[in-house]
Amino acid sequence: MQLRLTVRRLQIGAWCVGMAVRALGLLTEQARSRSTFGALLADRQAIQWWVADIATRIHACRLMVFDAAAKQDAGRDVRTEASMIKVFATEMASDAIDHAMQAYGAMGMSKEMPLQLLATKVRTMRIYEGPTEVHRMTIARRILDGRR
Amino acid sequence: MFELSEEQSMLRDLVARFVDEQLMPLERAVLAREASGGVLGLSEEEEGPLLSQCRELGLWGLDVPAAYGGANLSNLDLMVVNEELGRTCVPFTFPPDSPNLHMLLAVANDEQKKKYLQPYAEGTAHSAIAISEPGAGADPAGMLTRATRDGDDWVINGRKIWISRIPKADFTIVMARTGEGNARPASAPSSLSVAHRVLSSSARSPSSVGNAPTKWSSMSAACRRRRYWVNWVRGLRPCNCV
Repeated sequence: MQLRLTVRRLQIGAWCVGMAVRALGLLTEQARSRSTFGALLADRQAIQWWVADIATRIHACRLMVFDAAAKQDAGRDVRTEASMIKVFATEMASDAIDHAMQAYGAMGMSKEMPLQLLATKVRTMRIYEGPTEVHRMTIARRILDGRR
Repeated sequence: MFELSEEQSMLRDLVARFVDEQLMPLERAVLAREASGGVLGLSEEEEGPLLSQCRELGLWGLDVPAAYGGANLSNLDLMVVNEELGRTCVPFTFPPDSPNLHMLLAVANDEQKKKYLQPYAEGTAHSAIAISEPGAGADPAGMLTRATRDGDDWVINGRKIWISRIPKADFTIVMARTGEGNARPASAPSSLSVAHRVLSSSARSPSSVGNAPTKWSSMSAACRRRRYWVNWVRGLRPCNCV
């Protein structure tokens, strides 16, 4: 079961990267086209920081996922990496989707846009295959026990 | 510097095109159906052509070993594939969905591999896994479901919930205790490694693996669609399978 869970956790990490990429795509599309108070959202520092932070965390998460997968291919135990990915990737994607929704306003939450469906999907990912809190606990215990 | 190989880049491009050209156009219908209270998923009319496309493009059995007719891709290859799939809200995975595949590869005996793994790897059988219970979710070591030997059969007593994919499943892997007592090991470093012990305690048992015929073997149990539990489990209370 451990193997199965590890495979799934890395898979969740990769899905989350894809979901965040989509959210960032929708966010930038809106930022480039929507004007408020005489300026494009893309020209507002608040929005620029969202874009920068989301892109940065996507990059970090993708590298985490690739690193863990390559280690697993080399036959190494990646349970800790898998836990770290499970925590980071799901929170990263939740945040990216949430900010994309914020940029769209009420439209971002409408049933016509994929964001609300992605938000629901990523919300469940913070629960199944081990909830975030349990993964944080296991990561911390391994470090505190000197096993890593 | 981390760079994908040429093959991985080609795989990414192939899947990206599949997502953009085949899945994205279905988003509107999926969203509309979900918004009107319908099932979140693809209809048979939508899924059929997609599966044919997958076969044609070789996007099938991606991480299935060559011995079972698959492409035997690495975990890293799969990450590239899954990132692309994550971009759409259309629920679709290239068959078979892999985690159960790896579990079967790791623990099933030859007979079980032929019966369960082969059709699953070929994408003709769907599988589910039953882990969570009403009192054991985040902490699977707290599971109470027990499998006991009765002649050539295994008898399972317990309740399972949150079994994804159960409506479509041709067989379900059931996690159950086979050892004595319900006390969780006090020295367990984490809930998951305890769960691993639950698994291995049954999987390692020579009497439970490779002893045919069994209604329920160490790891996997067959169940007919919509007749989950019924024929082969005695004394089990009905459960709500989601």
